[in-house]
Amino acid sequence: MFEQLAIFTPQGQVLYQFNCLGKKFAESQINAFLNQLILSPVTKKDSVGGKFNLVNVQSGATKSFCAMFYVAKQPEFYFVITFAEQNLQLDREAEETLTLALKLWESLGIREDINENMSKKMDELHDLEESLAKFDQFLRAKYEESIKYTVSSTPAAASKEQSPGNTVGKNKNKKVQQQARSAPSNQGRKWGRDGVIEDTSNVDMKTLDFSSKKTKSTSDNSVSVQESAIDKDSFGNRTEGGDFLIKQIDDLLTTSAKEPTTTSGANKYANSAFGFLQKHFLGNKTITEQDLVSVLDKLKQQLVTKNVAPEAADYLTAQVKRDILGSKTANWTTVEDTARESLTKALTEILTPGVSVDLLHEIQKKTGKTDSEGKKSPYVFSVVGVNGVGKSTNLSKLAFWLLQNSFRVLIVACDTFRSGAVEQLRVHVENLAQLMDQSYVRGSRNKRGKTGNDYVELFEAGYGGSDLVTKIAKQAIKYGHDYDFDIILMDTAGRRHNDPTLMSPLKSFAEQAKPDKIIMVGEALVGTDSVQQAKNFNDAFGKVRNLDFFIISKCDTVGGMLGTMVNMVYATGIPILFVGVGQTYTDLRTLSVNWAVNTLMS
Amino acid sequence: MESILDVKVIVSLAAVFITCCVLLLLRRNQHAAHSVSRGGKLANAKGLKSQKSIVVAGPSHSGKTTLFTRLTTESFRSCVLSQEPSIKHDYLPGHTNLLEFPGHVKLRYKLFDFLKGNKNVKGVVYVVDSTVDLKELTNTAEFLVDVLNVTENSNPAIDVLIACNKFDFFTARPPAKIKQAIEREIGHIITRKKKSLNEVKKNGNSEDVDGGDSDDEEDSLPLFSQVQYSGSFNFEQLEGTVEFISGSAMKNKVDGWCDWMSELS
Ligand SMILES: Nc1nc2c(ncn2[C@@H]2O[C@H](COP(=O)(O)OP(=O)(O)OP(=O)(O)O)[C@@H](O)[C@H]2O)c(=O)[nH]1
Ligand SMILES: Nc1nc2c(ncn2[C@@H]2O[C@H](COP(=O)(O)OP(=O)(O)OP(=O)(O)O)[C@@H](O)[C@H]2O)c(=O)[nH]1
Ligand SMILES: [Mg+2]
Ligand SMILES: [Mg+2]
Repeated sequence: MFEQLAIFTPQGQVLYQFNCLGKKFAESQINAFLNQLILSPVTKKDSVGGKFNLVNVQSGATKSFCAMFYVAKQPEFYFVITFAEQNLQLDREAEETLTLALKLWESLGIREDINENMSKKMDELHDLEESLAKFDQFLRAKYEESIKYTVSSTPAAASKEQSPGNTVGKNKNKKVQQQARSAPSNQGRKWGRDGVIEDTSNVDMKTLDFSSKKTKSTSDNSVSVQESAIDKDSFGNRTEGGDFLIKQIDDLLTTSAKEPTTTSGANKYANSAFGFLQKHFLGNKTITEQDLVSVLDKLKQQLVTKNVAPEAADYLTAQVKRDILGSKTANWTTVEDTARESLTKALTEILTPGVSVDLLHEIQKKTGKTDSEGKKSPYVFSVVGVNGVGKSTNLSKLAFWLLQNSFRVLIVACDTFRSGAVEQLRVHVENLAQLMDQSYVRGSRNKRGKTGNDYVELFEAGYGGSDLVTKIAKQAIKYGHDYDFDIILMDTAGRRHNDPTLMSPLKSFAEQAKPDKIIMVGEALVGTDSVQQAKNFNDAFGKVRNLDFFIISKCDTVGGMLGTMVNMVYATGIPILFVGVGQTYTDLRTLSVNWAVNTLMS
Repeated sequence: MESILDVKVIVSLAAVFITCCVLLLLRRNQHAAHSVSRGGKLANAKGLKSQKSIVVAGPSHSGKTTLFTRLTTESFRSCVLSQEPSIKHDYLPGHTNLLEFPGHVKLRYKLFDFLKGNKNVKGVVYVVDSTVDLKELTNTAEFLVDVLNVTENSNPAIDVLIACNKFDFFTARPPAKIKQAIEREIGHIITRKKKSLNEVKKNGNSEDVDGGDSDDEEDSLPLFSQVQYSGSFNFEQLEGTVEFISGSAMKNKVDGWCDWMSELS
């Protein structure tokens, strides 16, 4: 059995809701799904049967679940069905239920009615109580009748054998009909003036109570035999009572099986001279598939020249198509301009971080708390990425900014592989110490015998294997805690993202060091490979941990070809927080989405 | 003889062709008149900016869509996370539209696209969830700072109503308390913003000098200077008025907000 079915508009108006478990409809589950869809439109999404998409939703607030969905066009509606986990039976049930819902929606003319309401600028649901009640009744009946049983076939056959011989449950039969009849009127209340959803949950309970009983019997045959007296009745009742209704539904579905042909008429004229004028000069043209072919191709080429990976460019142009296909161009606006405007939106949306990250606030929150001994826990960053992208340099830039905000910073040399890595970091620490206090003597040690001074200090333990890395990390955190540091910055070794032996230690490193933020540095120069880089690094930390954000370095060297930014966010849904724009300590900037989008579109 | 026939055929064919074209054009025009315009997604975006409007904004889950539904249909419906703005044309007399924008962080650009450089916004209703712990108001305040930076930059400044929603909950905080907490929070945010790294503007590369030019000015945030002078923030320092009124979109306690809207010039 699935969990919930919801139909709603992109504006967030719920048109129809159904909780199959007989509980109150939980909007929070649909919200968790939508949130995931908005945050990472690409990842963790498969398409089912070419028509529906499937998303596995894992979020802190709700337990994990699956959502299968379909987005209808003109007007746009979301059809979403949720269920506990992905398996063959549930997938199939969800797919069939969704197909049924779509067909009913169309056959009952609800789509058209809403379309009409919207064109008259009226409330979408004006005068739709009756159709929606019917939709509800039909959907439930048909689901009970056929879909649910296709899932486990044996009991279904059994129930059909039983039904003809069963003559006992006549009066119960009536009850079911009554329920079926009363359901719509109660349901109607949902849309009424003062209607509150709780009112309808009662009805849900009744109808579904009896359905859940059946699930029990389908899943466990021995139980169903013992309970037979009651169960048989309800089986018989339901089939007989539902007979008429089911026939009615089937009739409805077969007579109106034809696809709607509202927009196809316009296509015929797309090639006419007038269409040409509208497309290129006049505007006020309904955009067709044909109009878009060459335009989208052009936009894609432009993105690719900016270093956007073809895969990401395809995704963006698909977004554009979704946005403008079937809509009308404004007066004196060409299809191409309209598409460009839409692409600007798509780029803005993909590059905008999905959560607001205020690092200073988070650091203050953590370091503001003290333990029983009056000591604080330092805020821990670790920096990862492939070789030579600028991890150490950008970590030092980050340190400089934090030092300017009067935090005490401990820099940890967790790169124990590459020769010279520790020495390189020591130079950075000495530079930073000198910037903070001009009297600092290079090469000197502070009172704890370390490189650095009161502001910034280096924590090092030489070279070795990955065991040493985790050991250093843990020691450094304790050291930072004991000596009252606010920030710990861990530099790690560069590693090739497609080498599992190098990537696998990252997981245990993150588990042991528990950094507050894991930052991946990617260089703007890299191009198409950035998609895979970002994916592999993000996956390296296992299921429960992700990267927190990106720093894109060397943006000063690519002359506006900022495609890498798009690629990395596209691949992971992880935001870019900072960009590196040069080799000095002040060359770190907050990402401006407007700037990036304008550069990409120019 | 044959050639004359040919000419005749050609002429008649041409005549047929021309009439077809004319017919097609006529049909097409008819079609355009009948086809349905979509809910203001893209095509009318420019048109909407040139009409008077009241804007409903605020963080996700604060109850904006619930409020919009209440105001436009006088009913309650359950809502899920919005992805697109809702629009009610001619909501108030004098052709004033009501627009409600999604609150999800990733979708806020839609609001700012609409607000920036828009001279026809009469007022902004910023909906907050009054049940939120006063210490957890950071996100609410951050978003409000972004909104105020636009409303204060407008000339004259746009008035803002902070609609403290969900007042039917027994855990709801009184508006005065929320005001105090948000003021304190905004003070912190502004000091933090001053400390954070600057945004990228231009590449070192000369070809990109025209990069993000138009927005540079808008980043000179009026709120910043005020806090610089006084050391702390309060709403009275602003040019536009900011009023806090409680209510409930779900339980139809919206009179205070409606009055505020109808008093907008
Ligand atoms: N122009 C420019 N150069 C940069 C930027 N960031 C880093 N670099 C340069 O890139 C080179 C490599 O930087 P590192 O910080 O050593 O790179 P890394 O990732 O630590 O390298 P490994 O530790 O060997 O993996 C240095 O010469 C830096 O000066 C940037 O934003 N702009
Ligand atoms: N108790 C109570 N609940 C409310 C009230 N207003 C809204 N809610 C509930 O708050 C939740 C969120 O409401 P929405 O209207 O979807 O919130 P929103 O601001 O549109 O959120 P986004 O679309 O994500 O920006 C829903 O479950 C509403 O039922 C209210 O006045 N009282
Ligand atoms: Mg390094
Ligand atoms: Mg909403």
